[in-house]
Amino acid sequence: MALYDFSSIKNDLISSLWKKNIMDIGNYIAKRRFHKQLKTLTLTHPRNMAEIKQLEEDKISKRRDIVGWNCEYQPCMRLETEGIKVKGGTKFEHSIYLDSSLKNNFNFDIINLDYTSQNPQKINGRFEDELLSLEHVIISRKRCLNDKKYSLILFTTMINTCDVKPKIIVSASNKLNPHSKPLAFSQNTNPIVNPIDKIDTISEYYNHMLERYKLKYISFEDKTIKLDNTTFVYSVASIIEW
Amino acid sequence: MRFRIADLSERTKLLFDIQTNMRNDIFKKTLANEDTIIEDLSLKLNAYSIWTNILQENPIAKQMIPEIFIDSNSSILFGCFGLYKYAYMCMRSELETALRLIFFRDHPKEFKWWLDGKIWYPGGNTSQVWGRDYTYFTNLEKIKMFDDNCPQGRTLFKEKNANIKKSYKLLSNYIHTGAKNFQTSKDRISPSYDLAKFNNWVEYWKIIESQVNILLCLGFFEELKSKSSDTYKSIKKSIDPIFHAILDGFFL
Repeated sequence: MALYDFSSIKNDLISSLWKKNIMDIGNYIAKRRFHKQLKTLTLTHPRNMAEIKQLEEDKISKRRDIVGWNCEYQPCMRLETEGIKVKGGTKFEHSIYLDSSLKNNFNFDIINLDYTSQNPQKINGRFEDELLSLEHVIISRKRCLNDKKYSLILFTTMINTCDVKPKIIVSASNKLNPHSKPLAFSQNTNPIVNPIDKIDTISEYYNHMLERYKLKYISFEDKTIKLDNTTFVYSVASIIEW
Repeated sequence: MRFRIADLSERTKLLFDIQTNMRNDIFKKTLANEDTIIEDLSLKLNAYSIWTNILQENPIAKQMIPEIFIDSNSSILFGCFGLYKYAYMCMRSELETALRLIFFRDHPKEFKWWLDGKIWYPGGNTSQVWGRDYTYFTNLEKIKMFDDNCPQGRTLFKEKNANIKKSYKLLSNYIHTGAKNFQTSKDRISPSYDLAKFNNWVEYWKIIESQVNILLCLGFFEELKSKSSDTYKSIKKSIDPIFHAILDGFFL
């Protein structure tokens, strides 16, 4: 069961943050094409598929080039009835490093990691897993680039009162790439409590990946939406040049 | 060419009309009266997503757990449509697939044979992949421990009339359509929402759900034990509370 009404939040994010970046990536990758025909992976839920409709309306992706993902089987079944390819039944943040068929075929131009569509629960470790999935996405995408130069990654997460343990992120991230400069957060190893500090952690992680994987951010925009006194939705849109 | 219902042949159109009626009449009537129960059953189904997530690296589980889910989900759909006999048939398939999964977990070679349609097990078509009766399961360490801790009448396999044996036998009566398990009645051929039949089916659905999840907990003990206690607690919601104390001893 969804704790909050993420549906209306998604509509806000689409109009104020995602749409512009989606149009931009369309121009970066396929400027001359009328229909951009980009491949999209979107973490989504049948209760609101507005981003899929927007991608079609704006002639960015055709339905056949969109892969929807939900962590539960029933929403997956419902999404399938909409004529999009569906993967899931598992948590994306785990599958991106456990499922070899996913990570070895990760050829998406637009990657929408909207974790608010996956019924996020108030449990320890959720935020860390979601954040780490960004690095797994970068690794997987890099492996399958072919001749592509740009990608759009949208990352949206719920920030709540659960402590964030930087130690977990640092340890897992450094294991992924032991030969590069190790990740270190300014918060050191203490659990992060303050929501502003959690948002800063996301920014620091993005910067770390920039350096570690030699990326260039063509754009980096973010938005914070308050749900209540202790809970926020934070979304980042970044166009990456590989 | 544009598809129009009105253009269908006579019998096909009749089939379509029957289906539409089932959706509009029986399903809605069921939901109008039982939405809280259906919501509860749907929530319990989420355990299978949790299992798939835990067992992502197990190719056998990856193939079989979605099948267990769809059997369970289909049982709910048939129950909502008043097709109670078929709802039970789905549950029998679900239970059998779960038992096979527990067997194949430690028999990957036999799993491949099974996928290829080979019959290697004694008794051939009159038997199961795990052999005759349920002897295989009674020898599994965690299942044995669980049954040893169960009070009389609550064991999975240990007793002569243990719960899973009882369930399998009862559900098989729907597969083989025993006289007491007809979908039709003297007065009616078509399905309808029936409170007593609905309640019986729900009660049994919960029993099977509980048994399947207990089997998975014990059959994939190491995998579940390696996860946080939150994962076990989430799965526990699909298990009959009378077994919680015993399972807590394994996982908490």
